[in-house]
Amino acid sequence: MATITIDDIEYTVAEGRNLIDAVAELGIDIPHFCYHPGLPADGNCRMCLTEMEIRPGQFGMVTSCTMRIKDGMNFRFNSPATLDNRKGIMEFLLINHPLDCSWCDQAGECSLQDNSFDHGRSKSRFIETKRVPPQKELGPHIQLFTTRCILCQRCTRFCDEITGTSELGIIEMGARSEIAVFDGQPLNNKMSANVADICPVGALVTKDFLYKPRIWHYEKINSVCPGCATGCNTTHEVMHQKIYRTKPRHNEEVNSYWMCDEGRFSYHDWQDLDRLKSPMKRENGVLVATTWPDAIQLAVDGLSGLLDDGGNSSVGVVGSAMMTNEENYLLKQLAELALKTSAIGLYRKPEGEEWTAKGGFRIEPDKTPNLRGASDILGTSDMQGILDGINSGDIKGLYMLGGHMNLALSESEKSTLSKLDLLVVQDVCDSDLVTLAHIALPGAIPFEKDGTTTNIQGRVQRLNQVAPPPGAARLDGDILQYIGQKFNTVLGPKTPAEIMGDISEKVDDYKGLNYSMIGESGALASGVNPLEEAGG
Amino acid sequence: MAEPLNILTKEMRENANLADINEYIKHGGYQALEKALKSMTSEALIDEIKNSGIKGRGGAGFSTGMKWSLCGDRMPRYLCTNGDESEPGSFKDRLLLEGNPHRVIEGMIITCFAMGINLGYIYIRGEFFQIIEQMESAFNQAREKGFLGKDILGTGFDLDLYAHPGAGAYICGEETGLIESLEGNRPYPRLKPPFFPAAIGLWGQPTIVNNVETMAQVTIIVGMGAEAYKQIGSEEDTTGPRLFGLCGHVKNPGAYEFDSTITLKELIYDVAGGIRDDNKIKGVIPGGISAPILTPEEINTPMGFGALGKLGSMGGTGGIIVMDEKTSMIDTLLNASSFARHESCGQCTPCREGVPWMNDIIRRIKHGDGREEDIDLLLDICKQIHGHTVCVFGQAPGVWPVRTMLIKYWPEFRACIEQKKQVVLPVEESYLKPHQYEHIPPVPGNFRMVTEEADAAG
Repeated sequence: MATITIDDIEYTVAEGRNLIDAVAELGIDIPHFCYHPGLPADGNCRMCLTEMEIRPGQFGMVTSCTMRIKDGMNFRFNSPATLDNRKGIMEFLLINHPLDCSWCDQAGECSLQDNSFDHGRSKSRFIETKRVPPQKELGPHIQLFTTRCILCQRCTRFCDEITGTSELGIIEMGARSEIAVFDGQPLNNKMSANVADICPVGALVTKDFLYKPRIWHYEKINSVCPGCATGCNTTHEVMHQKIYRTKPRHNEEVNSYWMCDEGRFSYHDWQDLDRLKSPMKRENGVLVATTWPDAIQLAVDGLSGLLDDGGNSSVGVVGSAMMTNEENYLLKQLAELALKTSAIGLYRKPEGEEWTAKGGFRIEPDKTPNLRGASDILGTSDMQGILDGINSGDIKGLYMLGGHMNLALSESEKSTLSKLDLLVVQDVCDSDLVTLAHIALPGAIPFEKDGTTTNIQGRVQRLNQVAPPPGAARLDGDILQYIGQKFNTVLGPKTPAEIMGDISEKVDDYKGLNYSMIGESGALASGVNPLEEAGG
Repeated sequence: MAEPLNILTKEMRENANLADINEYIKHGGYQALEKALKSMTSEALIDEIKNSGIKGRGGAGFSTGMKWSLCGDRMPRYLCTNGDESEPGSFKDRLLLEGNPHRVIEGMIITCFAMGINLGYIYIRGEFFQIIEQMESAFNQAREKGFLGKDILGTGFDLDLYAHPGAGAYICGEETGLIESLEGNRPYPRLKPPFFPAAIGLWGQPTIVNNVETMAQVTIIVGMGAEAYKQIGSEEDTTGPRLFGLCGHVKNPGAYEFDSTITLKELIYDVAGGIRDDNKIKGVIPGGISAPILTPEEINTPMGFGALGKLGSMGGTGGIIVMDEKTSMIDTLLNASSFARHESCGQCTPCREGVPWMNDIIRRIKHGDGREEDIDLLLDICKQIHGHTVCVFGQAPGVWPVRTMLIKYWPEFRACIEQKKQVVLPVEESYLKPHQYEHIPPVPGNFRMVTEEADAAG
């Protein structure tokens, strides 16, 4: 720790951090544009210039973003020199800025607006002609409103240091400078849309969030990306139960400030999914819609019949890595308490592409969010035993969780599952699984449920509900509890938080976990909160 | 009048073909190198340079010996000789590189020996492409003679030097911009402080960045000894010979070698033959376009860095631009400001936005659309840029010419604004006497602080 003086008042702050970050913890805000905590400091915007005692009694201007805290430093935040510079920089940045806030999508989350309000002039002294460089398309997701750009170079540093792909650069010099890409080399890396998040003004915007409602109209709901085992922390911006934008949420242990484009825009695919909206039963080889009581009764009767005929080993259950820890736990309870079977499996989706960025950000090959958690809870990490049981004729009935967006079963899996006398599935859309099912129960997609998933590091993180399931679709946990009730087994009613309480008692790795401890940034499944471990 | 010197330009005056190393050796070349390598240690050499009192000839007049002694212990170190001469009004480095390349090379080898450097570059303005070719062939000749390469003169000292073409921008001559450019990046100057090139420079290693003329001076200092060198010029102000490039409205423009005790007036009237058509003098820029302008009352000053600094101007590159009574100051200012606008690198906000803004306002005044408040506005913009930029560029060609011309030639700018047209006032009415500056409200900052800050910035 170091003791520094700010405007004649002494403070104790962490040594070695830069001035902006260090005083932010004291609640003191130093205005800045080019500095971003996830990127190397550059010091080009000059907004954060602060008077510092360079030699005893002599003060000079230093950039707060590059000034590392040492003991005994003396700053002046409210001196005329510091304040006049901020005012001057604000004026310079605005003289060529179009001030088109009225139709700029950044309005409301714009550093230029905020700092102008705090440090700018109310009236411009600029009567010359503004520079009007043309708009550009930089890549499949990103558009550049060149007039709004303040050339802070956060985006070029992001492409240089975080993705390592260096698509963006600056062409021309001086006031003619523009952010640009080379011809034929668009900004199309796997994390390109992050440049819109870090752009302090409305220059870089995603085409996805262009001319959308004002950002202050949205409800912000924290969640976790279901796209792969990395489990990037996200915030959904939601209006009328519909997601308009997904942004990465800072979590230094998982995704830092970033997320991949595929995950960011995947909410479209989920929201546009042609959903299973009512329970289905197979009549004369064709799936037809039915009611919940009918479908549940059919499933329970079918499973009970098989159990009566062939004993407990004749029915199996298969969990899903798309489902939360709580839902997989309920499935396990159903198998152990109601069906009294030990044939438990977990469907594994074939692995996809894997990618590691220069800055360490990783897209995992496992494209499901909760393989780690589901296998922790179910005690198994594949369904080979189940498939063998079906092929040998031991298992005649199967209760299977789905929830995948584009599930593609292999031919052998399909032919094996088609041998079953009864296949009950919970799924979200018309998949290979539903095609084979005798009874299909419409479940929920990840944005529609509360619960937790465990990422590849073993970090348990919380999902929050954005919207209820559509039509007659229900939460998967509720369906499992409903079935359990029909077997005269009390699985609930319990909320996901209460179920996590049960998990923490029954599953070794999850001992001591609860929702308040998991909080916004997650907790490691070893049962030890890494934050507590670090002394925080 | 001071006597013309015959040191830097000696061999050139003898009309030797100095691009040929044999000619240079015949005229006494590479003797300083032999003296340095065979009879002096690197500590002795650094002391010699310090004792000579030489101030760097790049413009700021920072002590070369001091610069050398700021390198820490880290190795390897590099040498970058700055030949990116692009300051308007300056043509001394070009003369040295064209006329006597081996003198510069010799100085570079001595510097590298003194600093323990095994790899050096000379960064030459891209437009000087013949000079680059000539320099490369001079390096080859030096290699053949054993002055470069492995085991130079049998002392076990290895060194290689390379010529690098400039990237076509004024900012490439800023020392950290030059380093970035050498590394293959955009020549965006680096933040100073925390690190100066002597601590962290090329490829992150300690680096000496010195001007071409400084390198030539090193050869001379070692050749004649620091004591003899100190006798040239004034020990209190600036030692050694200097090349002054006179241009503008003088009868005999050109580069002249004198010591720094010669006055500006002598240079103009005695050396360069006076003003064209025997007109009256209106203003003189004493050290390249960045140096604040001097009025006719101020030209009776010695040309030392210190003497010019006391006047609120600076020694700069020694490129003297003389303007006679027919010159319009608004044109001059517009020209200087347009240059700054074109060459601002665009890295940091104040320079990128402020300099073109000032240029727009000046152009507007010239075209008769000036407003009452424009001079105050210009001075206020100067204040907002000054001291807030990454490098000195925002101040040197950006702010200083504007601020000083506006203040000193305030009556002429006022006339342009009041009469709504470009006006050239008679000389006597066009400028203010120093004691009148204070009548211009508001004068931003301390006007006379300017060059002290430039010195501090190195």
